[in-house]
Amino acid sequence: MGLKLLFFSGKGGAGKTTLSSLFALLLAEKFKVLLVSADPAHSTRDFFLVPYRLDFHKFSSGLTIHEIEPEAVLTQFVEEVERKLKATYSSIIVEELRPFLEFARHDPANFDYALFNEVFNLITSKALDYEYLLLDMAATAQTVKFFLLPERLRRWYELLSRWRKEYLKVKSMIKGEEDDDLLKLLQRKKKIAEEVEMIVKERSTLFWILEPFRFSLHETERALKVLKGRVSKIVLLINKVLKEREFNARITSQIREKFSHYFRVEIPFFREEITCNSPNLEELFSLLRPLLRMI
Amino acid sequence: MKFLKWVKLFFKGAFKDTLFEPLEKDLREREETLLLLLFLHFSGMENPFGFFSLELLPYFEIKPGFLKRFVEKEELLSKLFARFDAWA
Repeated sequence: MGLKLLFFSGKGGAGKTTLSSLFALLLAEKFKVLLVSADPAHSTRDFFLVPYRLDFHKFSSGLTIHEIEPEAVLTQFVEEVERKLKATYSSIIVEELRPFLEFARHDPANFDYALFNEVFNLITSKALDYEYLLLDMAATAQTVKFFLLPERLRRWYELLSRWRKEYLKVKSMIKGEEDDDLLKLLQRKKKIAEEVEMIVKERSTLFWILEPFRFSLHETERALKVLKGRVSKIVLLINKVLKEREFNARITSQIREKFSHYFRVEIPFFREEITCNSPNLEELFSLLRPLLRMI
Repeated sequence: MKFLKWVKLFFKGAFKDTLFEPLEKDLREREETLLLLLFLHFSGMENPFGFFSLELLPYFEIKPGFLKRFVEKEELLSKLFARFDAWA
């Protein structure tokens, strides 16, 4: 069957972490589940009432939780490159290349990419033994960036491979045909990007969480326009529905109308904060159970 | 035997190396231009793949003095882009 991916995303504060954690708990009753927080501002630990970073933390027999720390994965990535540079070049050249390493270590854009890279590694890893991988993403902008990345990367590596082949053609005139490590690496990277693209397109569900507010509604409209076709299924979770508030009820019915062709689940507003110890967990599970048919 | 080896080396130096020198220069140029492209963000330009460029670095044939040449190329590039500023 292979690993199935479940992405949770939506506007900030919509309830991504709460709903993904709840769903992970529900799924873990029957399956082996890995819940990954891909949001740099982790709050999964708050739902599970753990005061420290969750690093492949075994919460129950079925559920493992992992929070990706962008800074840590970036540092690890740069250190790995530095180690390889030292093995390849003389110390003079390594010193010349040091500004590149330092720049990479502190470039804010790299935190996101390091995190995505780690998610790609998790998705394509053959060593992980789980049936479901739940990804608690950060807000809309990061999610859109994530879903666009595999295709762009694949094209990028294709282009680089073509250039490298041309270079090798000239090189072979002087030195004869040789195996090229860079070309091999580029092709391996292209394959990974392709694999991620394929898995996301064919074996994943995106749970889009929105609140019955105008901002949330419009953002959802715009985001789904971009994401449609990039993920196999999209399900809408309308969170914090307050039927007694007129405004809230009006927007909820607007959402129903506008997204009538999507599978939707409505979750009412709860007065108490929801954590893994909430007394009403069973009630919440029964609200989420219809989603099991969609994965 | 040694004499033969010298003769061989003489012909290699006199013909083969001079023949291939332009090609080798071309190769170096290609490689360094590619590196410039991979690290465009170093010159302040938008480069969404900058992060992924880093892990390619160990697979090039980088020669000493690379950083100086890189900066020179960068300046050339900035002169080129400065023309666009004049149009704006």
